[in-house]
Amino acid sequence: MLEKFLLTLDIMWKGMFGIFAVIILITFIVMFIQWLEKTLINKSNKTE
Amino acid sequence: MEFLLSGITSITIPQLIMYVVGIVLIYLAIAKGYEPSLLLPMGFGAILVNLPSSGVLNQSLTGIGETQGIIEWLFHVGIEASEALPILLFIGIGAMIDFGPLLSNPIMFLFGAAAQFGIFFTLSVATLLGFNLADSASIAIIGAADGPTSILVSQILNSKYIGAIAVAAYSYMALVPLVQPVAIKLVTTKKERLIRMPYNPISVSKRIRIMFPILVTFIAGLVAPMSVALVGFLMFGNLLRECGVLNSLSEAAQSTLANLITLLLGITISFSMKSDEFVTWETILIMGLGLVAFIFDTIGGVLFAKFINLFRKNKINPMIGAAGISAFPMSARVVQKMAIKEDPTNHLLMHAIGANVSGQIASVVAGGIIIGLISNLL
Repeated sequence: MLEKFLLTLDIMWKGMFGIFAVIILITFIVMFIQWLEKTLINKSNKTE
Repeated sequence: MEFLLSGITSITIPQLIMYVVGIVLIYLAIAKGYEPSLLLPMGFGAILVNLPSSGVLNQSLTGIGETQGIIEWLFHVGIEASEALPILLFIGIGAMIDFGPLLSNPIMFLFGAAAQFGIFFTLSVATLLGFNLADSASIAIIGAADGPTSILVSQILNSKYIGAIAVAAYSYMALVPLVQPVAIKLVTTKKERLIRMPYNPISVSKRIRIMFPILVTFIAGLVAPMSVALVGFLMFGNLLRECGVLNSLSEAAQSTLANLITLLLGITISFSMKSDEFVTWETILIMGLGLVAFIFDTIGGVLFAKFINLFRKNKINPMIGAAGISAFPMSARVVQKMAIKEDPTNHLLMHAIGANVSGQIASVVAGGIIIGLISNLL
């Protein structure tokens, strides 16, 4: 029983880590694309 | 005359209990409005599959042999063989979701992840209560607050409790307005609930809206490959919505497809509500564990918001963390209602909606991760 419980704790940290890894990666990429888009628009506005 | 009475005389007590369960589900759907599109077909299906020698199940008739039952066939084809019904439903769900409030306030992504904590907490509790690992994980996924994900994960992990899990998942989704306020108040102070959050969204271009579903599919697919079926179909539906050139398909996915699949899914899942499988002590335990999962999802989200506040100048109202579960839009509405109750001028709805749609992505990712982790251990 204890062994199984410890296994679930292992699944818990791996699972939460996995979810956060995916979500944080998505967040950073979305923020990067938004920043890139904004920079490019500002640049093209300046050249005009 | 005996043949006319054989049906009545062969009814068993567990079958009678299932008729009551079916009628209660129909009552909750009609009178209380709790997830009627799912609970009503499930309730009626529970009665259908528990009638003695029911024609909706495969039967062996003397002189004729095997006959096919429609609900059993639907279950084998639509859920057991391919998990097609829950997966196809994600196209409709994806087409319904507007990720705009999330994309304009990306920090809300994090709350979707944090509010999946209840899944893993419940996994540990279910194991301590004696369920095997696959059943514990299937029960725990009720905490994803997402009916199709619960059905899909419990089917892939071959859980024998799929009926009870589906009933618990949909019932608690409907009960979010009752469950979440209690859990939120348990871990927040009045001062925290009064925190105001100005809403200054960044404008989201069409280009980003189109790139987003493709990006999420790539990332989720590469980091958690088992989540691809769920995330991929959810994002495919969203791409239909955002691309702007398939409006009729997007509308069909949002209404016709989603309604048809929901109808079939409800009646099909009732196959697993046969009295010999459903009327057990484990069903009561599963209902209790479902509640634990929802409470700890909420607590996980709220505590994470409090943790983030330790490092932020502009504080986040911790109630926003509770909206990170997938039950959309009930959870966001609960947070807004509670905020207004504390201070009628404090509007948190748009922040809460951002967290809530993030929960929809995080819950399907959690489903995929659970399948991946558990299948490696079995």
